[in-house]
Amino acid sequence: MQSINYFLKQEHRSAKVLAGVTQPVVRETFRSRFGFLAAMLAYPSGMGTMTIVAFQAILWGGGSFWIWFFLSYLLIAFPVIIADSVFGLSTRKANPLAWRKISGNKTIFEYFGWVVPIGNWIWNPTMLVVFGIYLDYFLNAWQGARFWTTNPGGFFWGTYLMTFRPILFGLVLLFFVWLISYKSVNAWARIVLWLKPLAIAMCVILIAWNVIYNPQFWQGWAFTFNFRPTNLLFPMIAVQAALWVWWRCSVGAGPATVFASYLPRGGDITDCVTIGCLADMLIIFAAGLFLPSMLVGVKIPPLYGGATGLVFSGLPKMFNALGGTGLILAMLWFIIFIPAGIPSIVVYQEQFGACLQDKLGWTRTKTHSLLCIIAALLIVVYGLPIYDAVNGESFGFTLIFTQWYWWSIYAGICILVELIMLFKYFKPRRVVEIANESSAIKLPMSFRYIYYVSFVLVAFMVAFMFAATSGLVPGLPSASTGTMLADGTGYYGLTPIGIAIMLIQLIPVVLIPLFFIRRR
Amino acid sequence: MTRFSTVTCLLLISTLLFLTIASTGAAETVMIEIQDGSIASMTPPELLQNRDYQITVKVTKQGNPVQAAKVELSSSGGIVTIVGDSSATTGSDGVALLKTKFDGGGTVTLRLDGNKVDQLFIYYESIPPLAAGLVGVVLVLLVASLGYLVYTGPLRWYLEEHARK
Repeated sequence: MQSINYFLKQEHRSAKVLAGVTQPVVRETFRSRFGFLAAMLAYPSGMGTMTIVAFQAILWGGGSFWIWFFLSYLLIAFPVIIADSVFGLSTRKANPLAWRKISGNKTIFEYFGWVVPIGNWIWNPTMLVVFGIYLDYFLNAWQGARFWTTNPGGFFWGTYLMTFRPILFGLVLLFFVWLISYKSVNAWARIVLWLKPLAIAMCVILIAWNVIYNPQFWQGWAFTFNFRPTNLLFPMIAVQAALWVWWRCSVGAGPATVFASYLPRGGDITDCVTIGCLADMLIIFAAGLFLPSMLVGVKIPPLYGGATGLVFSGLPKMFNALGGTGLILAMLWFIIFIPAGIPSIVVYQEQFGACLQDKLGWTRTKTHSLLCIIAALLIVVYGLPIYDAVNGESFGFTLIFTQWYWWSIYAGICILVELIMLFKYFKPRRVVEIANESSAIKLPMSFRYIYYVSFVLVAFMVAFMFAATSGLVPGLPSASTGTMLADGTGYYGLTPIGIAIMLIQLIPVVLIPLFFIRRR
Repeated sequence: MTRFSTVTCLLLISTLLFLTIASTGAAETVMIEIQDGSIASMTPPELLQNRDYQITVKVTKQGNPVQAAKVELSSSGGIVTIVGDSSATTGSDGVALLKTKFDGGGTVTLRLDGNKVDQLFIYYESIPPLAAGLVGVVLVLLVASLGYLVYTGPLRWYLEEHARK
């Protein structure tokens, strides 16, 4: 039987060779315009940014932070996502080959076209470990303090992370990611289309509960959104806000290129990208309307620098304080990761998968199965229950945090590379023309100037961040700048440990593209 | 005319004097007791922005007053700034006095000899207009734009596809 199959394959191949025909690989297409809309709703998502932006605002100038956050979204992320989409639509390729084609066969741009998809995809197993914990906490939320104890922080960092549960639940979620990815892009598009609206609806329920039952809700709003107009001129606030936008959207070879390359005839770029961005801003804003207020309502200081500490330490403390109601809210909160977080995992899986399929000619099933096997191994590494005494957590989590923090740096640099390619080879005017050809809502021609504003903003922010963390900005000690380069903890910054861990993260992101660009 | 000016001046000066005395007298007293590095009691339990406070911090260790301990307040969240004394040193009775006011709401960290004791909430008296305005404007803009885009995009596509069928 095996020999017959082998023979048939050989015969098929020979027939093609004899006929001198190169069989074109048929590119998948969304079955309807809703496919690209689903992708754009799913793409900027995730739990980290959704939960922490409001708390970053409390630490960095309240409303001033929010204003810069929205401005960065509109002036950097939105135009770059439109450009990403136009690149995909006009080349019908995933990022690396699209960038290569646009730049007139320049390998350097193909190289950078690989960096972000690989980085995004490596983010997936780190997030699957965290979402695995969300799932576990959801399943045990009904027990409340009997599960996460009366000291949830001590339990999470010291006890829970020393178990194999994050790995186990992470692998369960990975199986579902494989299940909706391996067959067809349309299979998952049909599912994720409804997830963002569902997440927004769940947030509305939590806001309503907060307003009705928490008499201190407006105090939380005042903490989060009040501001002094003069703070708008403080560069560190702008930089902090922009970093979260880059991280959230992974722009600079973002997944929009891949999804626009699946766009059917008549697909609408501008409408879908705008809806995706606005829906994302709305959900982040909605989280700001209930999370800090709920903590203030039970007298827990809303001071959290990272999402993980907030979600698995601060919020369980709050649920404990709320008693029986807290258990219901906890169940609602810990399940929200499915509509609000999982779609981004599927998006990044699709992005890197499409890059590999384009370059290596692999089938979808083979690509996604292989990626899931590698992701499973990485989940085991990132969930390693070995205690890291320096940072007071598991060693796997130290790797996760470092990966996240360094990732935002690559993203900033990749946006600059993408914009340089846009100015030199593609031209902003063409972006507007092509987007308008396929969209009901027409962008004004003056939209093209926003790309120059984006470039100046990103260049300034990256430069300021490096200067601040190197102690070159007067009045800002490097360790207290709290940026993603040096937040004073020692393992993100330019310290020996920081650099060593950074290299572990750099190896796949920097070296794998070198392997791919050499293949024709 | 001169007499009228003199009377007006006197009235103004007396009003200013009254307001100064009245505001000095209106300083609210806050008592914080720190026992063995953590807050044992605080009255009143809540602090509000834009009020004059005379904060009395009593520091004891194993029941004995601690002398020459540095008590500090520093802003740690929100947009609160400390107007007036932000640090004081305890006397032989273990008491330190801080005359202060909090300009804005948020959280303030209380430290003793550089070590964090606790976070104090500085509450707003009412929702500040800038915060309310930002929440309102952002919500209206986001919801209205999304509604319009859903109407011009997905809703129309759905209706078109439905009509075709």
